[in-house]
Amino acid sequence: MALMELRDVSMTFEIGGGLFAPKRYVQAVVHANLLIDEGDILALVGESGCGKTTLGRIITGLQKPTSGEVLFRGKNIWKISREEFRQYRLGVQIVHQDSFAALNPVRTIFHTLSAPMLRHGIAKNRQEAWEKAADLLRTMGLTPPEVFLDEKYPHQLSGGQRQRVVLARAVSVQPRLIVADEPVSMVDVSLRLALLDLMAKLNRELNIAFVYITHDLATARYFAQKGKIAVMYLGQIVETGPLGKVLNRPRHPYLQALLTAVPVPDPELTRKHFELPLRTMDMPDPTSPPPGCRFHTRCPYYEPICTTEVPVLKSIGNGHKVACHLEHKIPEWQPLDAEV
Amino acid sequence: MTERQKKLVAVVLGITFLIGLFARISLSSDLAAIDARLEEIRRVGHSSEEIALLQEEYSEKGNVVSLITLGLIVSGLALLYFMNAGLANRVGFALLTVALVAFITYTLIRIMPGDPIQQLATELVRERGLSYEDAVNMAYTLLDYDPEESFLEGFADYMAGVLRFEFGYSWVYHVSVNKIIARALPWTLLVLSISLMLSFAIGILLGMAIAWKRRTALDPIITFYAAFTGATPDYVTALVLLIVFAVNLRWFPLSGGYDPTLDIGFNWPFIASVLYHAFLPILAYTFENTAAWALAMKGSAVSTLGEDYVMAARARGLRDRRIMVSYVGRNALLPMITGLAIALGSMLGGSTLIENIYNYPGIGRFNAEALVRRDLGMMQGLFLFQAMAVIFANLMADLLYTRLDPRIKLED
Amino acid sequence: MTTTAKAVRRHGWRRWLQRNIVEPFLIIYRNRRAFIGFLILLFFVLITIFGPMVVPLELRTDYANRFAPISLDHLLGTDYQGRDTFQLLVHGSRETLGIAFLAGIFTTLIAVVVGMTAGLFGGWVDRILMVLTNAVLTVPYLPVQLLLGATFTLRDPISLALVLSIWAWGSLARAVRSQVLSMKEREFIEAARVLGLSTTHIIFSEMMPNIMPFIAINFLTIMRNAITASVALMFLGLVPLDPTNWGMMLNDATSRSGAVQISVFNRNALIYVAAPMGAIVLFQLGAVFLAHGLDEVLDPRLRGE
Ligand SMILES: Nc1ncnc2c1ncn2[C@@H]1O[C@H](COP(=O)(O)OP(=O)(O)OP(=O)(O)O)[C@@H](O)[C@H]1O
Ligand code: SF4
Ligand SMILES: [Mg+2]
Repeated sequence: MALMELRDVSMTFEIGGGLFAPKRYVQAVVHANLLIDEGDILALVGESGCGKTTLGRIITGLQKPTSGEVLFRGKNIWKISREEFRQYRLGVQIVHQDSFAALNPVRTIFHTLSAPMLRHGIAKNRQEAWEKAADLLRTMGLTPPEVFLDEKYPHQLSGGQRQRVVLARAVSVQPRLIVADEPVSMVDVSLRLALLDLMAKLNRELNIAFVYITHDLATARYFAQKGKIAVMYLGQIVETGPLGKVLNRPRHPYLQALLTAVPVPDPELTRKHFELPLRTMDMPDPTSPPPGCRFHTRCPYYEPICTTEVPVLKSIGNGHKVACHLEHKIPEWQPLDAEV
Repeated sequence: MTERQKKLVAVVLGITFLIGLFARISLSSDLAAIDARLEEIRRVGHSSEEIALLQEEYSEKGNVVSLITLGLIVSGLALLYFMNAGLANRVGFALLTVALVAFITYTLIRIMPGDPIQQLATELVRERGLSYEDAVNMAYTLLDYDPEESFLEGFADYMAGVLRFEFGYSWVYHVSVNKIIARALPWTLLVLSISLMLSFAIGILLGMAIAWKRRTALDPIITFYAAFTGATPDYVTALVLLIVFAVNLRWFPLSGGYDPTLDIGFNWPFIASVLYHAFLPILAYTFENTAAWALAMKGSAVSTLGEDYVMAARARGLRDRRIMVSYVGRNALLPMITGLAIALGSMLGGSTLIENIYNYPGIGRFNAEALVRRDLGMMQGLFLFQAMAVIFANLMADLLYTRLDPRIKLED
Repeated sequence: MTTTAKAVRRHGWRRWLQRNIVEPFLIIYRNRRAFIGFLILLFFVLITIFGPMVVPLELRTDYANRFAPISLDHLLGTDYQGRDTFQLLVHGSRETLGIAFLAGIFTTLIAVVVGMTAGLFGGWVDRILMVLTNAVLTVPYLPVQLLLGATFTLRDPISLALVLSIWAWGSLARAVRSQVLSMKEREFIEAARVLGLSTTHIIFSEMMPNIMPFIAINFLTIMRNAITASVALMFLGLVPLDPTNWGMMLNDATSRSGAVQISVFNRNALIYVAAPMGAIVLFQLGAVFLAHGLDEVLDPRLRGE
């Protein structure tokens, strides 16, 4: 049984709608299906506004989807008993992008770490909480832990240290899955890899599954090497599968475009770019998405069918799935280091 | 609803409104005639039957007028809603607030400890030499008070009165509170409007000055001045001014609104006397309120100074004075408008004590008298009137502000 | 694990003291205005608590000695009955400031409950509460308090404090609501929810500490308004409380005793009239200074280094 499963989940937000202004709807997530097993790593990528955060919040139970089922260990989290929900609640944690906003500014680090442990009986008293918190901080590489527990407030820590505290807090309730929503995008570039390594270590040693949300394919590639990837466009998952396979042989025109935009870190890899011109750089208005394939306004390969029929995810083998009518016609994407 | 249907409804509403208005106007002159007769009998009357009869007639016709007024309000509001929903929202809210305040005053009448009937009856026995029994009957009729009435029935009656803008009956003066308001309001308006304009104008200028030229001696002085007036209740200021300038120095009169030996009318000695008598109250209000305006204006102007268009104007090398007047001044002034209503409210609130201190013949002094002599009718009538005035002022300020500020739309 | 045990203990009361007493004091100390206000209020607090123990109160009438000048015997002269004005002020401070303090507590309680409920529940609850709050804000409170004061016969400080609170909570309630609304969206509250912390914990342990300084500043303003209103009620003679109460003193000084008129012939009478006014204004000034200073310190634009 999968740890976490989303079945045909959609989320539609109402916006505006005064007395006379017509209501408008944003389809932030459309018919999404996801499967996350124990210890999995899933990278969720896509441009800003495509619904990554919303999907993450649905997984965490912070948002109830307008339709579809969210299953934790096979049970719909919106229909289970209080006790089961409590288990799910602790089992799935979240790490926000902005570590400063994620920590209560007027509470000490110790308070922040100890409150959930005391509440859930993971620590029986303050002293035990102190010891457990110290262990957690050590695991997170914040040593010596006393320095951080000793009446320290969030603003007295650096961004990287704060994000480690946030991770420690999430880990403190012994979760099975952590949804990390752009956890490193606000951290200094030089510290990003270390944080990703730390998350990978938690995944390895504690077998915690991760949903890693990002718009940055490079970190996704780094962190989810052995995991899966799901690419979103305007609320829809357009391509998914094992990360290595998908990124080596991207089939959806959108992912191909994204990969082309990846800056090349290694100066020796200078090469002729395989240009994949988009028809326009503008994202369509999310309140009135294009009919048919949502990508057709920008897709260089589109054909009439794309404007009428909605493509669904189809398997092309090895767990690799793509939602594109013309998948068979789309040319192979040239890898970055290809000689031309 | 289609556009056509909307238009149709609007036209029907408009016609209803006009008919109602006409009916209301013609009926209210009838009502006024009965009221005049009632007034006469009430003041000297010894039999309560006569009064009761007239009152019966009055309340019958009055209820019709109230119903029409209610209809006018509802259809007017609906009409407004078709034209501008945001506007209707605000007007509706103001009306709701009035209703809430009326409910509170009515509840106070009902749950008030002590017996107003008893109180008035005793007074009538003393004043008019009625037998106690007659006096009690008279008291019931005068107060239009039916002990059998349920809370809601009573409230409906009360609201009917409110809808006719009738603020009740003073049992100290034995006249309707409306009469008292008519007599007292001009005095209060005179003092409040002059004080409001003076303190606003001076405060705005001071505020602009300290916003433009920081680090002058003026800034800390104004800040302290604001703290000081903020700390001093306005009645303390009024008292100090009275003791210094009226009692001890004798520069200004101790009480009254004018010199009663003069002819009342539009002649110079009378106007001079009115201003002379109003001087200290105006000084008290102005002294109390100026600093707050200055600080508010400073804050508003400073944030305006940081705006792009001001920066751009400076970069273009426009003269300081020009920038200050045509860019900063106008834009910084806008947010002050809502402050006007709030200031008016707090000044009106303070008038009870200040006009009492100067024995100035305005609303506040009558209110103080009502409070001190426990004249519940006058007290509640004047309270309702003051509340309505402030609610109205707030509504006006709100609408004016939204009209003037292009960034704010009424719809929200 | 003796070191951690010691560490836990070490972080007991001394840390608490540091955090809750020493640091706030230093914040106040560093801001000149706040510090002056603090000293003034401290002075009044000391007088309120210890004054009546140190200064005796003699309420004997001594007409031979009325309107005495300032002297060592009578620090602020005497009143129209020959009573020592300073003694009256010191003994009246308890009731005057006590009522204001109580009114401050009541008002703050109402405001916090209303604001929190509106902010947390949202929807219809919020809408109804906000209509009520707006009504309370539109109609100025002094007339309401005067009306209530004259309608009910108030003889004890607690009912007076209640009357003073009933229409005074509007602005704080609205401010608390908007703070709660903005905090509700903040990620640390969301995190607390995901961590399965109870709503009570979230309200009292996560939200409250964030709005506490803000409430404290507002408390000072509310208390000031309560003094203004209570003195106004007594000034009109609507609430007969203890004659040492500053409002009652002011009422005595300006009406019953004729001291204002007498001041024309006997300047000493002015001291008696000015004494309660001076005490009121000085206290209020202290509160204004402290509140403004704290406002400056806690201004979000200046905070967070
Ligand atoms: N509570 C909400 N109410 C209305 N619309 C919302 C809400 N939350 C998200 N949206 C809309 O849903 C869409 C998806 O938003 P979401 O935050 O999930 O995107 P994202 O992929 O996380 O973007 P980013 O990379 O900028 O974080 C956006 O168009 C957004 O405006
Ligand atoms: S379905 Fe058509 S428009 Fe959409 S990605 Fe495939 S080719 Fe492009
Ligand atoms: Mg996001």
